[in-house]
Amino acid sequence: MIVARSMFLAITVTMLSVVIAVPIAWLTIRTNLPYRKLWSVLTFLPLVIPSYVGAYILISFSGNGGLLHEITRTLFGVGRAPAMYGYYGSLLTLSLLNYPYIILTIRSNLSNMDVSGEETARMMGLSHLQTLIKVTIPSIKPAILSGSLLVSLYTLSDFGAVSLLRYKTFTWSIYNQYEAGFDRNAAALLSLTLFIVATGFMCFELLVRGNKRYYKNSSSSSKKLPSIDIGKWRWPAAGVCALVSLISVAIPICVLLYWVVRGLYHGETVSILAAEPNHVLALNSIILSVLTATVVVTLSLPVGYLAIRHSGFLTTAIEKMCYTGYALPSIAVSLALVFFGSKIGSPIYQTLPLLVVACAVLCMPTGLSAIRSSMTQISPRYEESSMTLGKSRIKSVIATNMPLLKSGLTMAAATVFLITMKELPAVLLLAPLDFHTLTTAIWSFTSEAFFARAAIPSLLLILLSSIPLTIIVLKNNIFNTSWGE
Amino acid sequence: MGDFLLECSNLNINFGQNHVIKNLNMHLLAGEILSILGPSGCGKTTLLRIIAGLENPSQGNIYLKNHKIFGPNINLQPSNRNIGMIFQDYALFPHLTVEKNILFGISNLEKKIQDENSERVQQLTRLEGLKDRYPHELSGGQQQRVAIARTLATNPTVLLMDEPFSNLDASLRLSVRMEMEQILKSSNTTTIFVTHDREEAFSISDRVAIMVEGAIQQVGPPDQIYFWPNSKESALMSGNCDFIKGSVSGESVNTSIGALPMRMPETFSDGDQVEVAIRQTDLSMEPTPTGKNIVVRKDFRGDETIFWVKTPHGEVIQCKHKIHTTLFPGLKVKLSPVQYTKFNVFSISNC
Repeated sequence: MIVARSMFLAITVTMLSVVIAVPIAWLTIRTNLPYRKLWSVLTFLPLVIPSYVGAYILISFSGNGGLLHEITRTLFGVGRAPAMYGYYGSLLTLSLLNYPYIILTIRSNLSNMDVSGEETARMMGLSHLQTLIKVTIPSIKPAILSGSLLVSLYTLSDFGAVSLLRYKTFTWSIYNQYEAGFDRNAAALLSLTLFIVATGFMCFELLVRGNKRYYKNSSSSSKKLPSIDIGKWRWPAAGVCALVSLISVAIPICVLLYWVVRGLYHGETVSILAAEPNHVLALNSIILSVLTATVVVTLSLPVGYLAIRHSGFLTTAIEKMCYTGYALPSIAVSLALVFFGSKIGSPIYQTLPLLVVACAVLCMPTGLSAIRSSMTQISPRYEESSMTLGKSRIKSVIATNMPLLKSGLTMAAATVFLITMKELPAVLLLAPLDFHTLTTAIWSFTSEAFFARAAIPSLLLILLSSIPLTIIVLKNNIFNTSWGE
Repeated sequence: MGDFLLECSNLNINFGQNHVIKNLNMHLLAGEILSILGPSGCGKTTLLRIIAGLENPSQGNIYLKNHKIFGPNINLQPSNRNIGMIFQDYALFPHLTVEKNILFGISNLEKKIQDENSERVQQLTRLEGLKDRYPHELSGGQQQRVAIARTLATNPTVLLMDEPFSNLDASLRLSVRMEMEQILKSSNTTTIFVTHDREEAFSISDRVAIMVEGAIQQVGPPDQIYFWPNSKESALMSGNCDFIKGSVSGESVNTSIGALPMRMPETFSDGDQVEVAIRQTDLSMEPTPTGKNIVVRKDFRGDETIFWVKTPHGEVIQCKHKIHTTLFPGLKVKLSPVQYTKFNVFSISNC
């Protein structure tokens, strides 16, 4: 039952995300949509909102005493608001927060596309819409699939949103089994099952995509893509983008601001602020994220390098192992480390290093793939010519690769920082007793429905997460234009 | 082991099932430009990479100035060989300026010597005024000169160049080639350069090595290779060439187009079945109603016109001519050897 529920949620969230993401990506990248830049930035922003904050916003917005309820009560005299708990709430929250992952994966594909295929289709008499359906979308199918995989894995392993929305999935059960202290074996067994389901999703993606690679024919990728004129649909399309941005970004922020104002007005939050200073929470979050980013980047550099330049059995195995992290839900990893830590006991259990290890394990795949993708663009000829110029192998590798990897490293660090910032289960289960972060504070307030108190940490978290996101957005543009070729 | 600057003996390398270099032997004289000419996939680039130390042969020895740099128990790292290599795509460091690229390999030297060296190679390659540019701000020819300058700054014993002109526009190749030849000769740099373009190899090198399927087929000065090819492969690599069958009779070969005088008749005996190599300029054509050969195709190229002529045995031979108005497809022609021409002949069993 739990399996079915989790899988059903993962599949429907993925489908809804694809439905939202693909049109927006195409509209913002390939057409003459008004305010393209604005929409592409706005539709990135949900990435900074953690799922539990999203859920909390939804509950506090639509539930009894929420903003929506307040408005409808004063205007129309509605007595009780329909609660958004359960499946529909989870579907809505997770889809609206996860669709940017799909946009992200298909973005570079769409903007670097070889348009000759489309032009051929147009000359054969297909309309723009037919071309889109028959040529463009099929050619970005691999990217859509890998984006979908990402979304489905995130949904499967999501813990915060489904718990707050009381939709009983895998992660919720695992946490409850553990928290209630019934049976660790049951929790372990559930984690294992979850891992198997997630691996199943990964295999399914591999199976569908096969070994097909969609190469570009021409080498001249730098030419500017012509934007497609969508004529009278320009403004309706902009309306759709505006609606999505409104629901997934503007309303959540407004709700949080509303709670801040309301909390301050009632004088509640002020005392809480004093008891658990927000700046300490923020600082702890930053420390954890910076440490994790450092560890991940330091580890993925040699792994990424070896995997690309010396693909042997061992390196492939190590690399594949790092990628299984994608299929490892964070709650399972955290529990495993809890079991491990409590067996060994005092020197490491509930210490910061163990927490950093957990977060690093979770972020390794992301960091590695960021570094890997920028490393594949570096020709091995550089280090070879450095060697023939008299530099030793190690020196050559460092002197030629590191300067060119700068933006890849920044990307990796920023992404890891962002993920760790939002990470909930690992911090919840593994943080030292006196180590509170923004996420743990938000979690404890929201799970007890102190909505007003959770508002300031949530806003702080979103604000801090925007920094790495800005770097990611900027780097994405810069990377395309730097150093020609 | 003679007095060679570089000597490779009995080199072998396998990539999986592929035996890419097979028992290869070659040597290099100080100061010469040797080009390795071969079809793509014959192992030329691999040979360069082996000499540079970037690939390890499974067998063989390499000597540089009579010191063993590779052998059963010795493998000098590329950084210690003092052999410079210029890659097909030049591999200029994109994050460094021209000057910093040039200084890259000599950063361990004294500052004063660094500057002198850098100054010297910049003058040699005419890069003054470009030293603050980044590689992507340079033209293809300029990028190549930076690559040469960067390598020459380290005073390499041997310079290796992998298809140096293949990345350039066809219109630029000639001038860049002449420029490069001048740079190499004036700096007295011993160079091996790899190409699949016959014209490049002939015009720039002192000696040409024909490489076929992982082994050196023939080495010698360009004209020697052209006029005295030792095999069908050498004949084909050194110029356009058609083959027709014939049998030896005295000092000539009887073929479907008549008797053709042969080179080195003493190596064959009467009645030997052979193939005759015919260059485009070896035969003259004369339209006559009794001609046994038929023009099947005419390819007007401006300076000259190439005719495809079918012999009575159905073999097709290309002939180059200046005339283009009086000859056309369908015409019967008589083919006869141009005066003083001797034909290279290969016995069929050898081919």
